[in-house]
Amino acid sequence: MTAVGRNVRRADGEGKVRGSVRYGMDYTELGALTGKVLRSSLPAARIARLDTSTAATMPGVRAIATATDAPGLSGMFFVLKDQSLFARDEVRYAGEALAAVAADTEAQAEAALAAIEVVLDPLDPVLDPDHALTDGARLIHPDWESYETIVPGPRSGNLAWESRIERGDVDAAFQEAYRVVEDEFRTQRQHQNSIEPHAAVARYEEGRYTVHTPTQFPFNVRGRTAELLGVRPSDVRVVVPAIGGGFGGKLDIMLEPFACVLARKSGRPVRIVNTRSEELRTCAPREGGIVRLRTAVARDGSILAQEGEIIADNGANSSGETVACANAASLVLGSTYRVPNARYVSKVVYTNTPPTAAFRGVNGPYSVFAQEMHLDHIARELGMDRRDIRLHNLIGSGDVMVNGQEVDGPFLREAMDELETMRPWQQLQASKRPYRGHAIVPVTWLTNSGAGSASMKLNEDGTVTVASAATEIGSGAVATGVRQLVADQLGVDFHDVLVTPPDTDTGGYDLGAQGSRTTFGAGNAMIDAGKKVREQILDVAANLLEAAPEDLELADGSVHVQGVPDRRVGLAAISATASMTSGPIIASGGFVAPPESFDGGCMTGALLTHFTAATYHAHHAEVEVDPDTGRVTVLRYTVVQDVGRAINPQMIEGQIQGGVVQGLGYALYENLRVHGGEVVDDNLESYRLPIAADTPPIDISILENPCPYGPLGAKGAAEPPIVPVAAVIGCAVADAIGAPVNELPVTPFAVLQALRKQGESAA
Amino acid sequence: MKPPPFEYRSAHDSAEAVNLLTEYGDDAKILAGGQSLVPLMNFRMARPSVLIDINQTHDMTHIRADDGHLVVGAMTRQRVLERDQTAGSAVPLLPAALAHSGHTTNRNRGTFGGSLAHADPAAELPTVLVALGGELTVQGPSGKRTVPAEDFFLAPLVTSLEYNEILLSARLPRLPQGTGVRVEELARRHGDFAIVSVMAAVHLDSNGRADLVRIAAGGVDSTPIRLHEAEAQLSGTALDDAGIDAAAVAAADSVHPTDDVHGSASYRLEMVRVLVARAIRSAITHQKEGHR
Repeated sequence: MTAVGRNVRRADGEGKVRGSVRYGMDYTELGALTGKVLRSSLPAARIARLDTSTAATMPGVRAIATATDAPGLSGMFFVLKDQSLFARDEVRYAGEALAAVAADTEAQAEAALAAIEVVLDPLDPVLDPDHALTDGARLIHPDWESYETIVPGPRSGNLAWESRIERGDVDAAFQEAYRVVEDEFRTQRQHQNSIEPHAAVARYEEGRYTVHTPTQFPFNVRGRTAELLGVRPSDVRVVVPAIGGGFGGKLDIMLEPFACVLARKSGRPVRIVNTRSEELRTCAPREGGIVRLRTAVARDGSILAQEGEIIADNGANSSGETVACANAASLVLGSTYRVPNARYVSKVVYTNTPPTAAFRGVNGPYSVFAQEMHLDHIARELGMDRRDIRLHNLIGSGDVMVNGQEVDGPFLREAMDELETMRPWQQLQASKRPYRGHAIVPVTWLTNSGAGSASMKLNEDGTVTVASAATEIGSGAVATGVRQLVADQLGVDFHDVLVTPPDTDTGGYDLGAQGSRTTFGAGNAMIDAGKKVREQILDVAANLLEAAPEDLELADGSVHVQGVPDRRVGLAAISATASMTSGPIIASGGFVAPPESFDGGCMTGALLTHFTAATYHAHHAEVEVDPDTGRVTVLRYTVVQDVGRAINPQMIEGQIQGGVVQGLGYALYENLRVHGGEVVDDNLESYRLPIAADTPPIDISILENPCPYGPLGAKGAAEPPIVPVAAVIGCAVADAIGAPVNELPVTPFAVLQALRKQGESAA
Repeated sequence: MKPPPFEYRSAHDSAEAVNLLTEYGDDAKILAGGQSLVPLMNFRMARPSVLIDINQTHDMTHIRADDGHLVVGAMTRQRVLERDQTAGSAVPLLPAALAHSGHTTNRNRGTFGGSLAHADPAAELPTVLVALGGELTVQGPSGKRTVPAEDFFLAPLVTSLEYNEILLSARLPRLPQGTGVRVEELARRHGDFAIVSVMAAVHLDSNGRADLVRIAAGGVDSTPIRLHEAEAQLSGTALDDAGIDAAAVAAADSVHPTDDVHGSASYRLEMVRVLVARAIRSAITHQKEGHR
């Protein structure tokens, strides 16, 4: 029986359910010390004094590290190197590290932190991104020009990075417009909140660091740790235990370099685990954004041109993906609808706040929220139906996206049509009740194109082991997806495909669990290795069975001659034969997505230039608003999602459920507020995650439009279900109350305010 | 996170608990159901050095009703009280309020007296006690005393219990047969502490005039607040729409909320008005349509 397309049970499922899995935060080593990090209480200050001499003499204290122990500058993806491990001379956010301590016990480490003498001379914090860009705003990085970048990037002062797309004749199109519509949208920070906090256990042996950490992206942790410590990447070995969730928050280094420095200085293993409060205060969330859109439309609703300014709050440095993903905002604005003339500017701005980073969907959710609320505004101006204006401008076969990339099919329309069969629009419009609203949002999203590699061997018992640095962050990509692919390719049982835990010493390079790329990218790399293993198996079998390799088939753990199922030899025998003849069966493979053709000339400062293995989606929600309290209840939610090929439908549905719920949290509840540079919501009482009781029924339909270079046609599936959720909810609430809500989250307070404003303007 | 170290003592009856409280003084805390205390300890927001566990006691677990009152022992589990028919028919506001108190699993363990003694101004049971003018019986080394609910709750998490006193039980006046009750709560998520809660009990006489109106609000002040002015405006009237709306405005005028991380004072004030009006109207419907 083939594995692909079936809901095989996760390889790690039983252990996770029974509680026997040892997660990163459970991992420790014999004699490990407890590490703690001293963090700045002020958002902006000069360090007048930092004296660790008293702390160093305290009982149980084995090492103290400060800025001199970590000489390097680095940045996420090595794009913009403006981050040091410890603050040097100047503090740029509340929570920035000043020193770190390793002691025998947690209490001793905390006592030592308290004994470090710190004198900070406060500076005026720059907190608002708009203000940061004004002339005369204090420079958060006075030495910004000296920082290394991966490519020359447009940047200046507090503008950390800028990416631009400009296509067509925007100004001329605005001249001809029937209407010009303008809006501004503001969105909040969202914290990833994996159930397992960040944790790292490091030791230093024979001149190398070994760090166990539940990271999504071990090679990034290796490279970034090495750069901050001023050593070579190969001097650091990263091993990944089971990961208790990431959602983008575990792509980058967080505690690993501190643990490494302290391990080297103390000569002992050092373990650091964040508290929940440290997670919320210091781990980089999705950035807050400001999106300003201005659109020229024709009388029939056609978008003639659009100008967009996206301001993304980088926080105090570029230790997160915010710079690297700047252009994604512009791409997503111009890849669902035809925007023939476009000028998008995406600005990533320094502020004296904790750095921001990747969170599932990066800047997509707020860009789509802005675009969709804006489209509804346009529809109101033109008196058009909200679904009609979307269908009218929907991108399809032969159209090009804003980057000049050709759309590969009418799949967005198919998603909208499928949704129509599930939730007929006119029927819902006709049966509308007061303070009930609904909305539909199509969206194009991408699969991360990044590199993966794998090494595969046939074991003596006929099972298969794949060595890989691909990580399982809970999506099932490693626990099911890639194993299903290999199982079918080699004709072995799903349970006979083993995958090694990620280890940068043994696994080849892998870009990590991000952008829905693991089944796609790591899976493709494994298939590439599997092809070679398959050839080796067939060569050996051909000799044993006295048949030509092309007449052989692999199934049920053995090789047989086509049409003669009795002439067969098992994989264990093939493995044994190979080790005596041609040598053990082993091969490696690699993958990086082939380039798509696009118009590079229309973009500057763009690090993300195009859509790989694009996926097509349509979401719908029905909501009810209490007009007296402003409270929003989501009644029903519907998702149509193109996945290329559903390798494991149940895992995909799980990702859709999770993505939608996380999106509802972003739309309605979650708000990591920063007041005066301090994170307000450092606990899960006021940082509100949605719970099961807040979650509506979610209906799902999976579409399969195969990708020619995806494994068996598969494309990314895990990231996109969060992307349009805030937009759908925002538009549905606006429909329910007859007034827009241009900020996230859509709180009861904001809803009441919008109702009141609308009442005043009607009066 | 786990709590800081503490000493554990177990009391076998209320007298022993009082003795232990007297012995350890202010450093001791009573452990009843632990649904508020234990999370606070885990967050290190409470650091008692001694916990006196009263889960082994038997003299504080009872539900008794006579002609005029319902008496509930402090160690009665909230879920038991919620489902108790005697309590529900004597004071139907109790099960209605308890349905909003955390989740079922919290109520399985959480106790009636624990919630009262914890005195969270947004919690349901203190608001019920204040709404209905309940009385609390406490025991100290020199005997028992009785405290009216409005004098028991002093400030957030502060009651008039002395360090060596324990809450034994609370007494609530039996509501007239057919009294309509309603709990209106506004929370951002299911199971959250209320931003605002309003409890109402209304009884209309045979002429359609209100001969009993009880209203209190939680989450809007440092303690639950009995809305006397609104009650006075409505008592003896036919509870028409204009009267209800005016009483709701009066209710909002009599509370003094403050801004906090969950919502602004002005939003709370507005919600007191909205929820008082809703609660009264729903309570009337409840009486008219009968208890289901």
